Amino acid sequence: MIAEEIARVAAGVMYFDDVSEIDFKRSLFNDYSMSSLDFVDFAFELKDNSGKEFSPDELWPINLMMKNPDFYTNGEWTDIGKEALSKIFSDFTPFDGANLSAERLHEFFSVNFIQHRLANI
Amino acid sequence: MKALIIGGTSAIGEGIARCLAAMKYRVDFTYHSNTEKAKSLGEALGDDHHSVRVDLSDVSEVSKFVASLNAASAPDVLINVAGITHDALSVGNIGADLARVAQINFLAPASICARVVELMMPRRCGSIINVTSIASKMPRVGNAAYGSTKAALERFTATLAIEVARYKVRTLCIAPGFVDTPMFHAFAGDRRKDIIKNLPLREILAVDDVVNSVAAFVGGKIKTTGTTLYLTNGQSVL
Repeated sequence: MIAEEIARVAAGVMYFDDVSEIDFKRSLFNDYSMSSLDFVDFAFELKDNSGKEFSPDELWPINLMMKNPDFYTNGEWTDIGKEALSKIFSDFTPFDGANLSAERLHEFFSVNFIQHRLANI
Repeated sequence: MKALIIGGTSAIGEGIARCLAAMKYRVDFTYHSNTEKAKSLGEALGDDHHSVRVDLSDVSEVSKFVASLNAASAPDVLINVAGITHDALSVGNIGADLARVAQINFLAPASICARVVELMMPRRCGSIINVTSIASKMPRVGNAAYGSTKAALERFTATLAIEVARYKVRTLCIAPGFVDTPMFHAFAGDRRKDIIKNLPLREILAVDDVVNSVAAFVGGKIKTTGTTLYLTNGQSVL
């Protein structure tokens, strides 16, 4: 899907009046207050619009990964987890590895990331 | 259209199954121990149905059943009817009894709801009915475990409703008073006449009274979600 279509879907889910309100580089979670319900709705709409089969957890696998002790334990990413994160974000953004909190990772959930993610699912 | 009834061999479950089949639903159901009833009900529903034995008191069996539900088998309508009564004072070592009642009356149906609703959400339609009891709102000596598990299911259902409303999945609890079922006969024993004498309406509900409410909700004649419909014997439920 092209970025404009993804932004249109996001704007529709979040009841924005104008799709131009969405900057493709900014986080839908942090900068546009996309809620967990919005996110699931967004994922379903993207699935319908893209014709691809995926679950919300595949679109943004971070939450699921953080429940897996192989990836995340005692409040920190394991080496295996960091490697998995690198694969998800490879060719999208370089990781400095310094701060990989959920809040920090949410910053990456932009229209541009979703376009990248959909191309790799 | 598919319906899944948890507890299809209870009197109310059977009534609902037959009603939904008449409404052209393909009706699947679970049962616990009444194999004979499951067989006869299955025959009445015709070839195009599926029944499975699930012991709701067994956490692993419930998990296995929940895991078996998938997009292809997902129902359009889910009805949790199964439940057990438990009449005992809340004094002393009640942990094991409380856990069993909670597992069957609350944790199992809530777990099944959670999985089914996940499958309904992408379709953006679905109806979930949990059969509870006016005992959820009417404390009575001996009904703490039963009433509190029914209250928990009503509370769960209300929250679930607001989480899935956007996806056009609607929920309803139907909370009957005394219904003319084997469960009531077992509960009342030789006190039946006294119990009915003390009811404001001096009558107990028929199974069809519950079934008709299910049909009205499923058929769209009751347009609500997250609420509890109290079918009383005249008692005030506030």
